Amino acid sequence: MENVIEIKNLTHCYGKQIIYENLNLTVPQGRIFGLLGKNGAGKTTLIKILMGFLRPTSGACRVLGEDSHNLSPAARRRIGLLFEGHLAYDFMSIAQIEKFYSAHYSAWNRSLYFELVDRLDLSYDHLIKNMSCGQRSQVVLGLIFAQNPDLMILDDYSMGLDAGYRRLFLDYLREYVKDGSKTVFMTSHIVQDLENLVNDIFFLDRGKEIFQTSLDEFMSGFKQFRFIKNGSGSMPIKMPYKDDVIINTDNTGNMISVYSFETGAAVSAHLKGQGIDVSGLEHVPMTLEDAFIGFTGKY
Amino acid sequence: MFLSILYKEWLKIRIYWVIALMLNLFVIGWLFLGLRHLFIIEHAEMIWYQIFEIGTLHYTHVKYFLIITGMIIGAAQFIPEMIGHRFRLSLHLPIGPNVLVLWSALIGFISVGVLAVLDAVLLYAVIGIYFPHEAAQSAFLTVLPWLWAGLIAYMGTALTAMEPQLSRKLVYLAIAGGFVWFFCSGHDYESYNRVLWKPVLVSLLFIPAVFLPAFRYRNRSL
Repeated sequence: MENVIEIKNLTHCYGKQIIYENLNLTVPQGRIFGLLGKNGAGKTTLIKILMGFLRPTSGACRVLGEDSHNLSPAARRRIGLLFEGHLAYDFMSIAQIEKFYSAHYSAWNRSLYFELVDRLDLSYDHLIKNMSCGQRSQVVLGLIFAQNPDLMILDDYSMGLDAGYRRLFLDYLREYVKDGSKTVFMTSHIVQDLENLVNDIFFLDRGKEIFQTSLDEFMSGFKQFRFIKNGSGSMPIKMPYKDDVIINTDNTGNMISVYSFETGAAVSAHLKGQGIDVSGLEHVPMTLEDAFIGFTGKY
Repeated sequence: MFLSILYKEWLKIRIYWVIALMLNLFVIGWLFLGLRHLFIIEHAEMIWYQIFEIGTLHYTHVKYFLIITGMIIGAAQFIPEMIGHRFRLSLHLPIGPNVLVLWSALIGFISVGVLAVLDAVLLYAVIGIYFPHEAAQSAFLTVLPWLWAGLIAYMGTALTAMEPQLSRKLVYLAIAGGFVWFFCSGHDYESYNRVLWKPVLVSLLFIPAVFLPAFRYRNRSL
């Protein structure tokens, strides 16, 4: 299967600050990828590099087989790009922006655009600059669907959308990818939306290696265990620490949580090795959002 | 594709262009009324003396209108692209970035150029009503550098708006300001006759210069 996106040894710095170092990532055709990371992890920067708006410090980045910094017009025609904040030509109206974009895309689906924007119940001469953030995002997402691209890159699609429209958008997105030829690369701050949508996930952490896995593998392999903090007498309470087995820890009240890819027995034995009393260690089921926070940590 | 870019640029500038058209027509209309008034209250020989012996220019107010027009059209076209980095939307269109920028700038250049031609033709016509053909031709040659300054003001504003780096913005502004000053510094009839083509030729470099800020925008590392 063809790789739609290929990133090899990508390094990018803002001044002396390293954002990525030797980042590697591949996105095969026909799948939905979620790029996850905390604020400032470099998600938007990566999308800017993918679309050629930033030149990386070093490394290779190819999109649809072309150097991302020199994408041909033909390649750009195959990419639907949602910019952070639902960027749009806000001096245009609903009808004007459709007329403008339709001239650039041969596979333009006009009826799909109006099907989505009609839900706004606004006249077609309503200017985008006079819309709320949520209304504007609906217009922009309508434009991207109407473009019918082979690759959609969506930078925080959920910003400003209410729950109903988010659900509607996800329904359209599922419909869009169902024939297996389309690829979606997306970020979202609403992690739970991705749980029943994406096939693969990437965790991005500033200056560290990217972690790429399938959603199923991650959700079945990554586990949370919890136990009550016990102290005895004047002995100080020992806290677990991060290492190869313990990916992350969290302490809320008298409960300690540890996150690991290992089994309960292995974690229990490992914590005992750290000198921690883990009687009552229990496995806690997680949502994707729980797992995301468990993996990347709270602030 | 060109029509689509024309459509986008027209949506941005249409209000400003129509206002500029009205203002430029008003200025020429004002000139016509002024000359008409002059011929009513003055003797013809006095007017002849003022204009052809002393060299008084009766249409100096034409000088600055096209410069202001050029600056407004340039700002109306490119500042909305730069606010919130909307320029990325344009750069993602399936058009080569150089072609896109050149077409956008040419559309603005032509829109200011149309007003310049209109000013020149109407000025020629108004002067031709009251004076012989030679005087109308002289007026045309006198305002030509001022009108060209309007086009330079447009290109300078476009370059300055598109440039991502502040220090370079100031450089573009200074170069364009220098050219505008040069073309407007003549105070006599036909000040630049015989030499006008040379600075005009040099200032044509403003047109390919629009590739520079677009290139630099795409090659930022921040």
